[in-house]
Amino acid sequence: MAATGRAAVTSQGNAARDTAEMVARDSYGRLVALLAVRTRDVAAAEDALADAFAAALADWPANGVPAKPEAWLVTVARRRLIDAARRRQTGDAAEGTLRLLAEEVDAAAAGPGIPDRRLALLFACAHPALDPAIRAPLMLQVVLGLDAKRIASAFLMSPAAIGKRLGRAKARIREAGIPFAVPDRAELPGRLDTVLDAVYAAFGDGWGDPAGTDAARRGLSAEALYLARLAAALMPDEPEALGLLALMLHAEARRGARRNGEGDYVPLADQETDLWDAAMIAEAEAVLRRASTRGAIGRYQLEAAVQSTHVERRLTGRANWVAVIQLYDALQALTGSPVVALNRLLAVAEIDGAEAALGEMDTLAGDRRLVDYQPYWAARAELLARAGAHGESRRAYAMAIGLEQDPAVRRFLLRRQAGLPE
Amino acid sequence: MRYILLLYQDETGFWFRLSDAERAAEGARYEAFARALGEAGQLVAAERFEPYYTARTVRRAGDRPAVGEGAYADTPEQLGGAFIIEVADEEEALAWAARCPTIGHGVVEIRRLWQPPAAPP
Amino acid sequence: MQFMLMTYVDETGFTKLTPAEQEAGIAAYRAYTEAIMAAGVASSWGRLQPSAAATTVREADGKPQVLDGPYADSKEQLGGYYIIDVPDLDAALAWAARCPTTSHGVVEVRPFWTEPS
Repeated sequence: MAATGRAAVTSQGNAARDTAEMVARDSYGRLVALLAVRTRDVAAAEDALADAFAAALADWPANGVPAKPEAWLVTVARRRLIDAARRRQTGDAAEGTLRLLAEEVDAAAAGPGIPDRRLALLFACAHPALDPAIRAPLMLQVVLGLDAKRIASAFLMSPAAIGKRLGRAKARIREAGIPFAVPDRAELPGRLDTVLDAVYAAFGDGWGDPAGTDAARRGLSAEALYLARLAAALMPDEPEALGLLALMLHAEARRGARRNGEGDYVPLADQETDLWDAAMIAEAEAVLRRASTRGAIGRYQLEAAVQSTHVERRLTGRANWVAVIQLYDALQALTGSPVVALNRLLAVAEIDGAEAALGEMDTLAGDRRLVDYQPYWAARAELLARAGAHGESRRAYAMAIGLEQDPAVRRFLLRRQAGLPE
Repeated sequence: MRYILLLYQDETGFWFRLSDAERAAEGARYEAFARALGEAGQLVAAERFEPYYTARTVRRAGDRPAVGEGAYADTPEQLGGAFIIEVADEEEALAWAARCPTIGHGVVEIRRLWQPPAAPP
Repeated sequence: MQFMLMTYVDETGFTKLTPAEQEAGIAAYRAYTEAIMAAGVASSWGRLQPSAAATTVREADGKPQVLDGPYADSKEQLGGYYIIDVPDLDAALAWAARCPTTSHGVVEVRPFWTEPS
């Protein structure tokens, strides 16, 4: 977000700047949500907030950090919003809306803390009327204040392209009357799914094994995890929000072991378990347990449970592939995803052998969605190698290599391919 | 939609400095990339050029064409080849560009192509 | 032998022409394209959308980095190509010289790579 203004040289100035940055990081989303909830104009709220931050950087070093920095910021931002609306000379309806906003802001400034409207903001960002591809970037920008350039490359878009799409999405929220509200009970399950799917999309490709080769491709995993924690905190009784958090915690906990000292990729079966973050795994388990008490199973809880069984197998040395397959069966029934079918096949191979799994793989081979999915070809290559079909395995590895973006994973696949007997 | 992926790499600084084994490995990666595109049914053409110094430029100087030696652009990275692909949207084109071996040591530029009109009789 | 003919033009040039000149320019390209295709010389051709719509991809820290704009910030930008098959370089240059681009831009002639025998 914009941070203009002269740099303060005094230590008081530095402290002021640090406070502003801390407030920014922790509160950006809360402030945007409060400012946008009535007008539904996210872009205007962001602009007003940017002005307020700039004003803070000019004022606080000179006059000291206020006792309630968020209240200060939101009051200044509100004034900017009202001024901007007056300049646009919007009609009576807008005046009424702005008056409401002004009252809310005053109440918030006087009270113990800024009310948290971020749940409404999340539901607005993930509204079905918005382009699915923009929902995750939108959440990252309006809740976390990430700038478009940072988000763009992570989602393989150019900065101009994403800027345009974000602008269109915000305009859509304003003009199409997309509500800033938690949906009512009837709509909630479906709408919640779109929110969670967007948070998951911020974490990775959205499809595949979050802790596998596709992991953390976006480089925004910390930010995505923040969103998942936020969703779980704002909806503590929703089991799928808890399930998503558990899933992402599992993936994040093993990140340190996914690359070795040379920066090479290390698959799960070969990872050093003492490089795993044990505390984070424990947290994941606790969150998943809490989810299971709600008695409503769902996709993210099942995926988290799969991760749980992988961890258990590595830590205890006891094979539990039957349990894995059961979980994948349940996931398959829920989602019909070819990726789930693929991962299930790998588990089948552990019990019935590579040839049996390859036999079942033929039904997957026709699925067009897998043809440019690297893990499909890598799995195929591995099973073919185990079954002794080395020529076919080599070709499947070539496909996987051709499809892989990450140089470390490519090196891994190349080594596997080179290790095949002639 | 059709896109052209223009592959820019530093031929003197990079490509010519590779050992034969390294060049073979790079070649294999390009083959894998092209094969993946082919398997997805999205490869229209894959072209690799001779080095930049084999290029010639043609302008018109007065009445006559004037031929110059070397590639048009005098940039640190040279155009070494191109892939022409048929995809559903720009996102798919970018996904392929991100897989292209060139980005490890060069730059891939993607440009959308105008839909060709019907072939002349 | 296979060559690619690449046309480099100043994209702002077209808008500076009068409507009559623009029509004449388009007709010249159409005629050239028809001729080179009908002669069986060109197997395919393409016209690129403006360089302002280009996107470039590099790698940074093992991750793709996506940027707006073309690779080269030059006055003349790649506008189109022809893939041709002719007996030798001279024939390729002869076709390049016929291309209307030479009056206001540059045609680059580049041989395709062939396996060493």
